[in-house]
Amino acid sequence: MSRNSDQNYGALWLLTPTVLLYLATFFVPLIMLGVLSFARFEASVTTLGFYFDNYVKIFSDGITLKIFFQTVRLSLMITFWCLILGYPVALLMRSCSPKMKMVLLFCVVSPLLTSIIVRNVAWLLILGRTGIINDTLIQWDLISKPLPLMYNEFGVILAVVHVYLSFMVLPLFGALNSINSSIEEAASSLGAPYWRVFLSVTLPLSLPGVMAGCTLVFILSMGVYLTPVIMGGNFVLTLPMLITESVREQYDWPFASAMALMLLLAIGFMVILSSGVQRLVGRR
Amino acid sequence: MSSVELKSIVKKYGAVTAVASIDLSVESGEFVTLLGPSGCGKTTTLRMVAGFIRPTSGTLSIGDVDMTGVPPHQRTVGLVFQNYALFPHMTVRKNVEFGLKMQKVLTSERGPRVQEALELVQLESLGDRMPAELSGGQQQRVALARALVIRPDVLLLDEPFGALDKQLRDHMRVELRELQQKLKISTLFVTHDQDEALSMSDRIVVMSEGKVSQVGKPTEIYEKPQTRFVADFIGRSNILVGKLENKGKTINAEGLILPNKENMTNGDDGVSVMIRPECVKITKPDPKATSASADVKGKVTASIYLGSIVQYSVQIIDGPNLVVTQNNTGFEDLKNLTVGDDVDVSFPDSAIYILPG
Repeated sequence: MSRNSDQNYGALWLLTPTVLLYLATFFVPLIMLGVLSFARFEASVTTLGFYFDNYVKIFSDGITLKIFFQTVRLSLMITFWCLILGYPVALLMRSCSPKMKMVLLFCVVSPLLTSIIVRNVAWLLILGRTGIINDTLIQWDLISKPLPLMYNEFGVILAVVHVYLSFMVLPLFGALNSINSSIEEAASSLGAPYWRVFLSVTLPLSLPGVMAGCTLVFILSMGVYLTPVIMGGNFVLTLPMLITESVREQYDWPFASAMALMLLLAIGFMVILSSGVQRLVGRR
Repeated sequence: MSSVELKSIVKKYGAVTAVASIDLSVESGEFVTLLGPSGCGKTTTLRMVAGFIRPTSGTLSIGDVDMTGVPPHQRTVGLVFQNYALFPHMTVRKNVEFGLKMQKVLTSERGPRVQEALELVQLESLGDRMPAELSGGQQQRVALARALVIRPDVLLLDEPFGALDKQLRDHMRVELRELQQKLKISTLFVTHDQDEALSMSDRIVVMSEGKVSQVGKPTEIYEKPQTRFVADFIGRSNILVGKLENKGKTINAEGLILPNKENMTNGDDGVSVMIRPECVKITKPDPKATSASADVKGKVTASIYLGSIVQYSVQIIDGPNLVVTQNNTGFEDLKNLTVGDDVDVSFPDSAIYILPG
């Protein structure tokens, strides 16, 4: 054992590039963000110092907090739908042949392999006012005017779920795959019908994967920017949009920094919460 | 009444035949072992009885009721796996209670029955532990209690001791057999371990390549194997190709002349002679006796010390090489046998068995 750890220490210097990269691109900007969030922005002039102006503004301007909660709600809905749609896929991937598994995996991962612009233009062609769905339904006289499938929450959720489904399916598949199938067979032989085996054995044993997938998708959804911009038009506002606007239109870096830190804190809170739940489940 | 009955059961996977027409029955209270090398179809057969695999053809009945196409949860079988397969997220008690819950046994009745099952396997004090907090042997006992508590028509054991170390395995073997006889529960046991099969079973079904090679009591299987495969697979044995000679009075087995005590007449064709290593006697040549006193002479070519027994390879002069084992009774005479020593070899009548067919 001791020889092993010696070897590990010896290889530590290999981490140097990674550490330098993180310092330069993550920790330094993060500290700058923290410093800036306490600065004062008046008449387009940033004064460094220790002011709470930006944080007071978040809680008192009436719109930022609302959009923050809207972002959380949207992220929770995206997470929920990813779970509902992803679980059956992961179950199927576990039980099907290796060849079919590769096909499913490819389908799930394919959105990640497509350019974000191409993907969203494709959604436009499908969901738009004159997209395939509306055109067909009107042609068949099922509806008289186009359904609002885009530029609303539905469109945003659909498009984001489409991309992030893989981040749910992969941890779920991992968790399901690690369940020894003889445990399920044991339940079955003890008289449990299929649905009961699922509820009593498969689902509880896959909870670590559920938690991992949900946390991952939630974190990603909290920060997603381009897809809501394209799919939501100006009708669905999220915190990342507000941050971008603050920087790009008003050059108000201090306020943008404060909002960014708030987003970070919310995500951090969620991670702590989920790891707490996982530990609780693990102990039970 | 038979607890389990398989009639011409066949299982094919595409072109591959896993089980080729098996007939098998487990009588009420009987302990039947499916014994064979890996890939012989014994686990497939067990899984068909449990209901996880649907036979390609044939009928299967449990407790005299046809169960051929019935799903596993509608059969009352107790199943114990090699890897225990306990529910890792439930306590020992909940594990054992699970089957009773599924059978919709009243809550008030469940407690005592769980307790009774845990007492049966001597784990009554560990009911609140999680499976991960138990040793392998304890986990296997929980699995046994969980299978027994539902009072199954038949207990199915799939290499249940495979993951235990040797001492524990030997101990569990005795314990399981005692429990089985106490409860008089019909049991179908799958193993590739001949010691387990010989020591526990009422009847052994030796399987090879999806077929039944021989069915019989442990003594019959060991002493009167019906095929070369069984003779080879069970225990160590010397199998020699022989020819009847001297008007059928003797057998010439690869140069070794043996009496034909059972008056086998297998046409004029060859016969297979089985000689169990432990039945052959070897002694150091008596220097006082004349050289003609011993029928057969040999030379030790290898010796392996195994503790309670010593295994020798003996090259018979003008004959085959035989494996011979002798009990290590501590007599210096045998202990001093080393490679290259000459020995007298004698074959009691019981040592020679002629394989039928």
